[in-house]
Amino acid sequence: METHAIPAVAAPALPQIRVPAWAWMIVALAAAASYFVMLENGALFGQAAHTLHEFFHDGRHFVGVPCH
Amino acid sequence: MRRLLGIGALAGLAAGVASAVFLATVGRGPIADAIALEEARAHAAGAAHHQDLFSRGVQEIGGALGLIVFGLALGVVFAVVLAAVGPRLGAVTPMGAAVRLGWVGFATVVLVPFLKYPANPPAVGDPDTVSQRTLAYFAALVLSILLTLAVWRLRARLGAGSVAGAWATAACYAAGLAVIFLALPANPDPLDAPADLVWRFRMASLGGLAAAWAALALATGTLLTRWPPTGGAAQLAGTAAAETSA
Repeated sequence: METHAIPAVAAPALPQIRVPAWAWMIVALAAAASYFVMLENGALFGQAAHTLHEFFHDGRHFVGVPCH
Repeated sequence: MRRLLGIGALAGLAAGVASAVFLATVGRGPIADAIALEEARAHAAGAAHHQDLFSRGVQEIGGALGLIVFGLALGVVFAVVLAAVGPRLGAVTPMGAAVRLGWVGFATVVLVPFLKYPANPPAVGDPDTVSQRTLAYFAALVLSILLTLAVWRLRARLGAGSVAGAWATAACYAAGLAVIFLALPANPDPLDAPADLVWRFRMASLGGLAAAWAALALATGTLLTRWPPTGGAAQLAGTAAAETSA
């Protein structure tokens, strides 16, 4: 069986868009917000979380995160 | 970068709206049936009608709002991750890069956790095990993300175009999935609702999430093409387009 060398497509060396630290901070914030909307079942914040939980109830079930 | 975040937020909004529309149309029926079942059961058990914190109408609005907030957060994360890994996705256009990342994201964040812990409608679920289930779900999510990152690295190391590399990468991903599925505990709750109802709900849930991710990827790709952020959208795609625009 012959082996064929696949011609290498020269991908130009590209400078990445630099993602500054503050952008990652915003990502962390966004992740935390999703946590409160979707995953907080009173594990950290008890009663206040329960109110949020009930308010977002349908959306939570729909996204498939565990619910009471 | 700022424009990129704006694009992410806008695309996330589109994703949130797409899933909210899906919830209001396809998801509404199974959820209503499940709640009716729940109440009929509580009634039969002789329990006093428990006072709900919010009415159904408010919960429906809250549910849609929750999906939109969630979509917004997801959109921002998606845009930043796209900026970070875009050039390495091997796509020619920003739309191509966004769609590729969309597939990877959907499989990693939605499909794998769903296969281990499928969504359940309101009638299913024991309140006493909710912390345990939340933790397990979170573990599945985090492990799935870690696995994708690890396999991504491996793929880069083996050479993205090589045949043996592709097989090895797939084999490692499969092995990683097997470990995740076997290591995590099963859902402790009994599945005591009619299977038909449960699966109608699950398919609606998965459909809503697929609609959200499709909207997210397509909207991000469209906005990046129309309003390239500083540095050039071509950089996000990474190949030929960058040369022409450089």
